[in-house]
Amino acid sequence: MNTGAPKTELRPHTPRVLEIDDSELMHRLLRTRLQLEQVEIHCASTGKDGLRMARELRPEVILLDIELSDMDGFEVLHALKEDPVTRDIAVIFISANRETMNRVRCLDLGAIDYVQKPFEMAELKARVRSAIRIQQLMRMLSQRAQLDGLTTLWNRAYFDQRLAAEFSEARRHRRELSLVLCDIDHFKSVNDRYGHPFGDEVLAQFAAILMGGRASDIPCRYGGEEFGVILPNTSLADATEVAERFRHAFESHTWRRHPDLCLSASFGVAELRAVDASEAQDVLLQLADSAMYTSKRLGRNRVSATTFPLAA
Amino acid sequence: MRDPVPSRSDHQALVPLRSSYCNDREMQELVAYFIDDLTPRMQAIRAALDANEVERLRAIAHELSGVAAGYGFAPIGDVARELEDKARFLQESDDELESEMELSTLSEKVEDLLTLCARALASRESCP
Repeated sequence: MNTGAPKTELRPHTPRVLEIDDSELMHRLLRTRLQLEQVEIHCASTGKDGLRMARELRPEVILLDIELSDMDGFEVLHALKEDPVTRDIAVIFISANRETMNRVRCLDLGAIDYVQKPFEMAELKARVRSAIRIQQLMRMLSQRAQLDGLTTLWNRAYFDQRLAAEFSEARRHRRELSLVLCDIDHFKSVNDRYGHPFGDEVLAQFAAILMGGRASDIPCRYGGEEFGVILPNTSLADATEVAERFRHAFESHTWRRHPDLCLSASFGVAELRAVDASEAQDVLLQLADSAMYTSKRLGRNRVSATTFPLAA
Repeated sequence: MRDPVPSRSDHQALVPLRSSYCNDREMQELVAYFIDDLTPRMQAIRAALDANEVERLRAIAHELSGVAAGYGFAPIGDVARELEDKARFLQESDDELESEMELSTLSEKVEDLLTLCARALASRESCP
């Protein structure tokens, strides 16, 4: 199955809790007391270690002590909220400070809750459970906002964001990156002739073909009957081959309700190496787009690749 | 005036302070760990007081005030909290006379805390 598609990321796992506190006594206490909860508990002793582990583990909840040896809890919270990878983690502050303004500050900085030390274990457990519930809902909502409802592929907003991310990653690590854009041929006439429900079925079938591709590829619905597939670590030749498989699979699909119907799609392929070092990811998009229009112009149902002289 | 402080070396003379989680199976191993950990902690408190290291005292008291209740030793947590407050007050105060008076109440709090720790240590055998 395709890991680029959202399904796998929605798979539930045991919620993880990261505790950042410089007290070994506190680590032991929480490990023992939370062992019967349905959570996986990890401990860090410094703010620096905590931030590193937060990035690696992506826990649902962080229990954060305000007073740490290397940095204060507010700095840690700020760093967590600045980083897109850790931003959505629910942070519960644990502090001995009894001042109201201290709680206000924690919550205003983005903490989800605040627990006063010393605390009753039953209360802490309940607050951890509540934070996990809220965090899972938030994560699901943000993911839903990036999904296309009809095809369950990633939507345009996600495509733009992911393309930008993959583009800069590939540049930084000098890796290959290709992009395939595709458009279902004569889709408007299919809709007009067979009705919108069938049009939806065609879109869903095309999406299913894209999702059946390689695990590392990221298929998205770009808009209407247009789709984009981001292919990290993939050369132009390999991406063209992938697109050819998609083209063939769609062309040979038998439509149960209209067995005589033969549909097709046009594909355009571009690779990062054709993009000048001074240019941004939208140039890659333009190259794939114009390759796709070349396919349309040449009679549709084909794959065209950018024929730029390759840069070094 | 305060009661005379019992000899720290003579645990037998102390009324044992048992953890309120003495009979909580989940906590038995942890309570034993906490008690075993008290001896080096008491030595550190004593050393910090002798060296007049207020910040070190505050840090030790801070940790105990946060966790002792979790191990079933709420009275240790309460006194540690008072000690932490006094130490912080002393650190922030720049009035010399006031500081001198506070220093003596600080050492009283330290003795109170050490007594409670010694009583917890004496419960080592009586807590199953």
